[in-house]
Amino acid sequence: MSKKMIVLKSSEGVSFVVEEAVARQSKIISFLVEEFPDRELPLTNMTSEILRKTIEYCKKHVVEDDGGGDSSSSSSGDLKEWDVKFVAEIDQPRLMDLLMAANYLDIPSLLDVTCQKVADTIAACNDEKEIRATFNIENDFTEEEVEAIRMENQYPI
Amino acid sequence: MAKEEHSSQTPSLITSLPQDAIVDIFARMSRFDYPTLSLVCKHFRSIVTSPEIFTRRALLGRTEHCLYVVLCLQNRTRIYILRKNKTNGDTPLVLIPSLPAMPMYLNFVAAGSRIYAFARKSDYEMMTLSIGCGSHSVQPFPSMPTHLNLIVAGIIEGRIYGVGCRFSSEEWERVMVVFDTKTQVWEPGMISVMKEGFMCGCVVMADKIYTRDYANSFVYDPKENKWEKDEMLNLHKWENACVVDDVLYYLDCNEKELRAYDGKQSCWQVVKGLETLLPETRRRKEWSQTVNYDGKLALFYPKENCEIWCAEILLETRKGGEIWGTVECCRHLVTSQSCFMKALDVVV
Repeated sequence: MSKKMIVLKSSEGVSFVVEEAVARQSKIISFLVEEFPDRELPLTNMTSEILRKTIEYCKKHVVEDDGGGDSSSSSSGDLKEWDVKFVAEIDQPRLMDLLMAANYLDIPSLLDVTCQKVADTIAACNDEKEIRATFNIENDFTEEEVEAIRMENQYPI
Repeated sequence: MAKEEHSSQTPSLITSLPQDAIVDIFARMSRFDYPTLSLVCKHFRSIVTSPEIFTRRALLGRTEHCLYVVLCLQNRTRIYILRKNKTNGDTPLVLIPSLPAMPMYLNFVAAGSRIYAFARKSDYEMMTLSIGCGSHSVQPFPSMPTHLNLIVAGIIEGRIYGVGCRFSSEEWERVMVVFDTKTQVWEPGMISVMKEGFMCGCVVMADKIYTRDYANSFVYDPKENKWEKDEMLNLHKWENACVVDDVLYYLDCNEKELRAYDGKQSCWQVVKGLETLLPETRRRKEWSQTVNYDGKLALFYPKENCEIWCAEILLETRKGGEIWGTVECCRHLVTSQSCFMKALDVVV
């Protein structure tokens, strides 16, 4: 049985040929495929690198209908392990891009793992200074404001 | 890859994420990380102080159990939150400054992410407060349908059963009123209550209300609207009790034992495995309290020198039905001549 393929095009104009079932994990693509069948879908805000990563994720997570009911290509325990490795290997700026892609394409499970990875990275920081350094965030508080917030948070008994 | 290069070339991407995505990230973190997040930058602060974050936590199923403690220090009743057990040396109890001082003679019930407080203003007037534990704000809450001095309250399936006294036909009578937390209305009518009971405590076990006075213990089944005496439960003068998996627990301050009553089997037993913890407790029953804390037992107890401690105990039923407790952590909360009023498990 031949599988239906669709074409996704990155911001650099690179085309990716993907099985429809794989791409349909994105709710946006799923909608677009129905509205515009047999059309190349341009994803102008996604680089080839991020699109490739997104497709890699979707391929791993595709649920194949083999006639005997739905079965994922991997067991859920293996998948979780794979997810952890998948996000662990990505550096921070690309992780943010991937999170944006998951958000834009509406892929709930990818959004879940990327958000969790960022949440874990923040939670692993010891204090607000480390969070700022890790994520390159500018401190826009005055010293007085910081003191006021500290008092609010750690009111002495 | 050099980190330096990135920071000089590209701006921080986390702050350029859509608001929705940042809310999603923060909703997955512990609320005890929020004070640190609020110090990072104004953008982060605005998110962790918005009500949206707590709605999202509920949507994602990322809520967590938090212990709230009501203490009366220097004649002021305030609400504190107990931090999660982290190894840094911070004091575990933190005052919630946005919540006002409460009157004395309060009753509290925790329902999901809210605390309902019933305070006595006078013999003829009650003050009802509903505290949202996400944003820590006090919301209006309809007053009771009748002037009632609420003695105790328990919650079954989102309905608060409050028992109180009211003055009618030149004598005090006891009645029960019901507040539905889902629809936020008091149900019409009152349920009659017998004259005994309710003086020494009230818990909910297997969808029934258990109460006692100085002489007897009683059980009320709301489905059948029926009161009965429970002789077995009455074997011990239980108070400040809680219920975990349909078993009632209380600290017997005289014998220094944690006692458990299984309502289904109608039998008492002493929780084992706490032989090193319990001798430390002081014989001041008004200070001790047990709380069902996410399926664990949080035991608040006094030691000598006016110290209040909290132990988190993991409960386990072994073969033959013996209940064993393992102390997971034990923390000193405060040293004071203060009055410990209530501890509550809230889910936010």
